[in-house]
Amino acid sequence: MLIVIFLLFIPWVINNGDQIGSFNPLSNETVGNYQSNTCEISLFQFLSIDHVENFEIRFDKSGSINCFSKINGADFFNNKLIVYLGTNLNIDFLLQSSFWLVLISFIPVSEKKMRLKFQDISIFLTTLLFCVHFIAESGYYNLNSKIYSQNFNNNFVLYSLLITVFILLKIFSFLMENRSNSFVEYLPFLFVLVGSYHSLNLNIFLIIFVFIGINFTIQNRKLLFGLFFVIPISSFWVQRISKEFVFFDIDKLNGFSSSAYNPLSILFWSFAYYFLIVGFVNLLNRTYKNLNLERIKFNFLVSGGLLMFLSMISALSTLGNFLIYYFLGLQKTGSKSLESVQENAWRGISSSAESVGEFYAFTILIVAILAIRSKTYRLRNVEYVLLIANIYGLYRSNNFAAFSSLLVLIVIFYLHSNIENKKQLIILTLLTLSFFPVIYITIFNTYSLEDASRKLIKEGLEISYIENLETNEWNLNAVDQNRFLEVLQSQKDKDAVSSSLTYLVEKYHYSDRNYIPNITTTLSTIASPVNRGEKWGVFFGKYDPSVKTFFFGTGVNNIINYYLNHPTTINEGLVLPHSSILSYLIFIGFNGLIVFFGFVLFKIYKNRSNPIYLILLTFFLINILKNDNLLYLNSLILFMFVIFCDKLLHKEKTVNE
Amino acid sequence: MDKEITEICGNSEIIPDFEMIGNNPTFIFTPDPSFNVISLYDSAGNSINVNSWLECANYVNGGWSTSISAFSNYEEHLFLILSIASIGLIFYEKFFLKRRNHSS
Repeated sequence: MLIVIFLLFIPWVINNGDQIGSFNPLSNETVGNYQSNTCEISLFQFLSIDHVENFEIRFDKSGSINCFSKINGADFFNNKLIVYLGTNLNIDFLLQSSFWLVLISFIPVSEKKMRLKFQDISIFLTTLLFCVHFIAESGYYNLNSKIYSQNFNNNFVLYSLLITVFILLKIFSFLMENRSNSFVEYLPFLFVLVGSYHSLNLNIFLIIFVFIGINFTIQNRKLLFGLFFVIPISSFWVQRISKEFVFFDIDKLNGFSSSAYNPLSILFWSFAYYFLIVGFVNLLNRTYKNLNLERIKFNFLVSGGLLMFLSMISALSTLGNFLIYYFLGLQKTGSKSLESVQENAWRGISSSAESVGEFYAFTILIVAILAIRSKTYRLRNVEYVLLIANIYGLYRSNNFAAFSSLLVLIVIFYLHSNIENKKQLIILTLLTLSFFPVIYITIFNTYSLEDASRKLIKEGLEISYIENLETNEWNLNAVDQNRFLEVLQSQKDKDAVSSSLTYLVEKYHYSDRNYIPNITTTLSTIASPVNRGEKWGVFFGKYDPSVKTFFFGTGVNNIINYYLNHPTTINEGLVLPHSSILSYLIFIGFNGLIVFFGFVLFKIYKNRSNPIYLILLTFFLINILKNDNLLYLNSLILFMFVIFCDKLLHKEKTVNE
Repeated sequence: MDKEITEICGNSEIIPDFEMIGNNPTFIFTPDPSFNVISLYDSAGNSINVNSWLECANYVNGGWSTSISAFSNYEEHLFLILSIASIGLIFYEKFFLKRRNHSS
């Protein structure tokens, strides 16, 4: 605990300067002094000055080592005082890794040891893989370090990064020896300790699971054989690169999305993704016998409670906001107030309100189904308190899809556990399933079926660069009048409208009937009630695949080609597809999705008599349809846990019986 | 000719008058289309792309270099510390941990 406190505060205190006397409290008048005297005083010294006015701390990521933790400038911008704190690529990597390794060391040791074989070669290969990353995404690192270079000659910045990967993995190996058996039980904490580095496009859990994945792969022929699949598919993705992009601002996806579109970045993310999945799934499979569902449930509750508590601190304190962002490795600074913003959602310290809402809902779901299964419905007092925090978190996240799916699934599970009469069970299940759709259609729906069926096309065309759109006497153009095909035909530049949108428009017009099951109408009609008409319309406006990239994708964790290759009116800021399925359509293509859903169906069939498994998986499948959660490492790991937790649930069932 | 200038900027028949350039605040370097652009860095980590041999020679003469690491003493020190730490870790593992594991 002492080490945690030491790491939390000492870095901002030790790098003191001796010019403190020349700095007055920060105000409009003294900003100039802070601008001209950079890297003179530490954060601690700055905070010890008696400031009267409110200010915000922002980072200057490109600071030198000497400038780390020192005030590197100030601004008065939009009626707000902003102070810049110098941070440094190498020190961030070292300091954040040290802090997180100390937190990992808090996982209780178990008597059973798991010594990793081929540890040294695994560390070497992992370091080599991350070296590829540092070279591939130099555009990102050039922004975060003035002296970053791809040149290997005397490049101490790069050497230090690689040696830090080595030290991190070495220490992690020591820690894992006694903790690997219960490591997976602590995965809920990934939503609190996100682990994304401040000035690196990496996440500590990515490094760790890639390392474990490489270790398992070199010990297992089947997994090695898997590489014969990764190599050709990544080569295919590399060959499809028509235009390279050196840098793309991945914003809140930091740590788990490529910032460059070039052959090396495609290769890195392909291999990293494979090893990540192999690492997590094999660790789960090897340790599931030691895992305990009750402990996992409690960890979910604690994580949710902590998340809520830290979100409050982050919102109420400038210093808290800064420390929580840095030491929990957030992908985006936490909300700076308790007020809800877009669509009344409050994300707290999470980068996405949807993602955290789903986490809270999942926690409540686990608690509910375990309570229903045990038929005691009893929780400990502390669990009640934590449950209330999770319910409040779900309420603040305003994730209606998560809330409604949670409610429906709990009721269905309750019915399944308590009603033995099959007829009654089927009727009540159908009534439950139709509850929310009926409420929506009768009370909330504002679209006619016709409007809903073409909303997607309208939104897509809205963001396309369309020329010669004549308007009539009521100022309505062809898009307003639903003459979409005419819009396509009037374009001189046939590439102005994306290939996917062209396909949807043509399907809508040339089919015998443009009602369901017409593909355009079906997609558009599904999109409207889940409030995705606009977002998915934007997706199809931008998504411009060739036949080959439609079927095989353009590479995992890389949205750059999708985003920049086809110009639209929305080319700034990060606008995500708002559906993990659409995101993965970009990554792995239609064939990849078929394989994925085939596997999920196989798992569902295999576990058809395991209701808990079916409920947990259904919850995720419903929600990934309309959110981007699988673009975040913690949500992806939780999803993998749900898909592969069948053995754990089966073991628990056997024990209970 | 300064050896460093030749190494970084290449050979040229031009005999540069650095004093004249330094004393003339309005001096403008004319880009040479046949000259491959070179990136140079100063001790603060600032970078500049030079477009002619004369411009390149002038900056190199002023202390700029193509090697960023030539200036990054802090980075070098950090690298040394990390190297020592990693060697320490290897020794710790080989001698202390293994011995402890054997005895337990």
